[in-house]
Amino acid sequence: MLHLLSVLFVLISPAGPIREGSTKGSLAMDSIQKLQLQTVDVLAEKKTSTPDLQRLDVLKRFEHSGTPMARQLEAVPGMSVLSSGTQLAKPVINGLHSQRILILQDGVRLEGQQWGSDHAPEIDPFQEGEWSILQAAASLRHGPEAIGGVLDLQAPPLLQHGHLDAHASTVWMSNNGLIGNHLRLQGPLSRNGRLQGRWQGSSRMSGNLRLPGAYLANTGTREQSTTAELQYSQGKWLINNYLRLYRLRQGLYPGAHVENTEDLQRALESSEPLWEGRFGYQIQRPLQEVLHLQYSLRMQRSHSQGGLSSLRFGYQDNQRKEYDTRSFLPLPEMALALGTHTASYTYSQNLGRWRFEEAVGLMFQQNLNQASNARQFIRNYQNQNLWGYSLVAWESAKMGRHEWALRFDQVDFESYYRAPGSQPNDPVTRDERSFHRWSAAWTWNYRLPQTAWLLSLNAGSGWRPPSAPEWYANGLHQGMAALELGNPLLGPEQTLTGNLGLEWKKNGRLFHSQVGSRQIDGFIFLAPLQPPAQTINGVYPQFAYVGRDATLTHWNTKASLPLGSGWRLDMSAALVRGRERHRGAWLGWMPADRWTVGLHHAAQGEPADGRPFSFLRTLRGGVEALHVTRQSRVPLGLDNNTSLDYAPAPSAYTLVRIYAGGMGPGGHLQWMFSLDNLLNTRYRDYMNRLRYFSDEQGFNLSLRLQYHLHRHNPA
Amino acid sequence: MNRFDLSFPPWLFPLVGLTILTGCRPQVDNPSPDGQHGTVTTLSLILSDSSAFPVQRDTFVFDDPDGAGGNQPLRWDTLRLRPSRTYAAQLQLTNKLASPPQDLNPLITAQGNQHLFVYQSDTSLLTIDITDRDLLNLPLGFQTTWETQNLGGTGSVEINLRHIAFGKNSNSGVESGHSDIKIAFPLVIKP
Repeated sequence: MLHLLSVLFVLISPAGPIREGSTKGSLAMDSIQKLQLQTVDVLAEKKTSTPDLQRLDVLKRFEHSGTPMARQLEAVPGMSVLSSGTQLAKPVINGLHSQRILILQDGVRLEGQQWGSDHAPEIDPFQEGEWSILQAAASLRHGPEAIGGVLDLQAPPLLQHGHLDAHASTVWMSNNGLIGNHLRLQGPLSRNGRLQGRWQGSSRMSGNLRLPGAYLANTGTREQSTTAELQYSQGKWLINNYLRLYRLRQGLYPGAHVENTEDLQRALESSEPLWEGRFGYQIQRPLQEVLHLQYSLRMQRSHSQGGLSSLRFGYQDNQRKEYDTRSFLPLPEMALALGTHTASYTYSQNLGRWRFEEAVGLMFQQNLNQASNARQFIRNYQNQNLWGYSLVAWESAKMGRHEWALRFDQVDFESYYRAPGSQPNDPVTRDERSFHRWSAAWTWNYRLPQTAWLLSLNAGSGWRPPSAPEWYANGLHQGMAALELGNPLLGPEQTLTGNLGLEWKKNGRLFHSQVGSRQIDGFIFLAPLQPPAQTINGVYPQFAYVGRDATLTHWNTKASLPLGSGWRLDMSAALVRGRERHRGAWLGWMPADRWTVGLHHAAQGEPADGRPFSFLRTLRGGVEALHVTRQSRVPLGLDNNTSLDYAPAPSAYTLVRIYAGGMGPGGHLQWMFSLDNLLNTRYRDYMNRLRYFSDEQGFNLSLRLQYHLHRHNPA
Repeated sequence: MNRFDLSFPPWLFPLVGLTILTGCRPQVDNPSPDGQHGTVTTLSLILSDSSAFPVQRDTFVFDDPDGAGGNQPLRWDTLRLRPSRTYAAQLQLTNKLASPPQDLNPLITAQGNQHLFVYQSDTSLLTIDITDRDLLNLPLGFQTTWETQNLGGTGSVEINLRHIAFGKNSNSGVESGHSDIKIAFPLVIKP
């Protein structure tokens, strides 16, 4: 099948010679470009319902380009990271992650294995475009599971006119010898601008991480990603093809792959990592390999009065192989292939102050264990989702903008299993499940008359069916030194959410604050189970999935204050609390409180204009400090005294970072130096599973360069 | 005139590809049996007393055929030895989750330079020595000799298979690498 896809890739990538002779700057072309931008705005209607604060601006992204997507998003208050080492990082929105959030890649839901803390989303760290976090009504478009929110990674619009636009960037890091490269080519492929294309490719290679005082063995990464996009637009029609391939080979720290409780105890008691390495790029077992392929086809037609109908097909293939140290064979312990087909139809229409959007769609998914005679921690299954939603927006100067969304989902799930020792012809154990539920949301954005205050209120109800491991997991979770048991009786999680946001913006000063609460009935997590199990490898603790009622609350705030002469002071805070409702016990793996303060300076005046030394006007730099408190709210046993965690939560820490950057002479080259963990602070983070075994990354010097074929003004 | 002004619209290429793609997944409803290649479910220790005639052979077993978790072990023997004897011992590891059951001895022997069996007894009534060597001529531990003192008593013997992925050497011991097997057998020495 991959062969077929490569043929397909070849078919669409050499998309003809780049045509010269555009009439750049002419009046006619400018108006066409504007029209194109308007079309894009209609497509991205969500923008009006997303407060500015929940977007990550391009400048900020360049500062962190080449680091995993989730780490880049940490700059947004309320976002944090659940990780298994530095590179395997999953985004967390106000304490929720994995199956409780959705990631949209160019409008398509990313479908990969999400259940483990070491299953990072398959996203190119050089991914360009606008990144935003959608909540409430806007997030319901993409699925009811997104009870934590939707991360929308939108590619920038394709260029209809002008020349070929090329852009190359490179990243180098001192800590783990990371070398990352990215190249993007885009432009119109026909003289009339109807055919547009874009190709980008990136690669990243890094070696063992350096902690303060030690290297961490086998923590290197190899990552490659490429996308090709081809779009044809004529009159009211637009057809867009998008193909993406992503590949990862990631070494895992062997000291974290403990296989019995005594080894675990020994690792916990050691203040130094037990498996120290030297610097090197070599990757060996334990490791994981991921191959992700994504294809989407979008056909749309615009109608009068802002109407738009759009038909979309998508296919994704996610192949994951996990290799443990324990095996005596050169085979993966787990090899899963997850294939997802999607089809949807959307129609939207503006009628005066009203806007209507209706959509129906179908998703079909199959999960297949590919390694024969391997452990089926996740069973084979297939999953169908038939859905439809209706979204209505109404806006007036007096009453602000309201959005109402109603969604219906029908989910049919069937799993297939053969017990150990059964013969190929023995009957298959089938398990069928079916759910249908409604979700609803309301968003209200209101500007207080005659003031700079913007009020944003949203409320919604959503649900999430349990995932396959939550029902069927049975056995040793590789490397966790724990037995995990699924619970076939678990039902869906049902959520009620309310958020209140306030934003004040005037003369460059900004204040934003959001407080929110979620009631989740049947919140699913792993709880300890007695007694521990005797195995050939000693005694293991056992954990079982349970569903309990829980409440999560959060408070995120950010303030930005210009100090004059190009100086600016930024501050932010993010707090999350999660509790079981009946017993009052704290939920585990909730991010600790995060506080940041930053002093930034950007040179004043006009940007570089070609005169000697004018590039100095683009200089900017700053110093940032992040303080993360100790997570003192951890789950306790029934006696409200015994900690259920393997180790106490790590101490609070403060990190300092400085950076400086700007444009080179001529306006083609953008550069940035940064020094992360400037003081080489030794710390551990509560949300990193490696905290049991090792410290976090130490001092890191990064250099980033970006070359634009055309003059570039980052402001 | 551009290259794609053809009678066959270019966007049909990917559509054709998509149609082909939808048809070629292996069957999800015909899973292979759950198993764990390379997992040790069963450990057998065969002790031969060559001073007896005919040679007396005893087999002691730990057996957990469904692997870690699930049901409790099916069999977990007590080692019963006689005083003043020298036994030649052979260890046999099997994965019963594979069908047919898989003999793991050749695999571990082939990776002997990354593995070491450590035998520990909490009584001085018994001495255990490794007699086999890996490819690097370092102790491995499938074959051992067990020598009992001239006294009866009870205690236990723990068999520990250490997986030493990096740097097994002559000093490697029970704290090297990580554990692949760790099982303690009760021990009774009685005339």
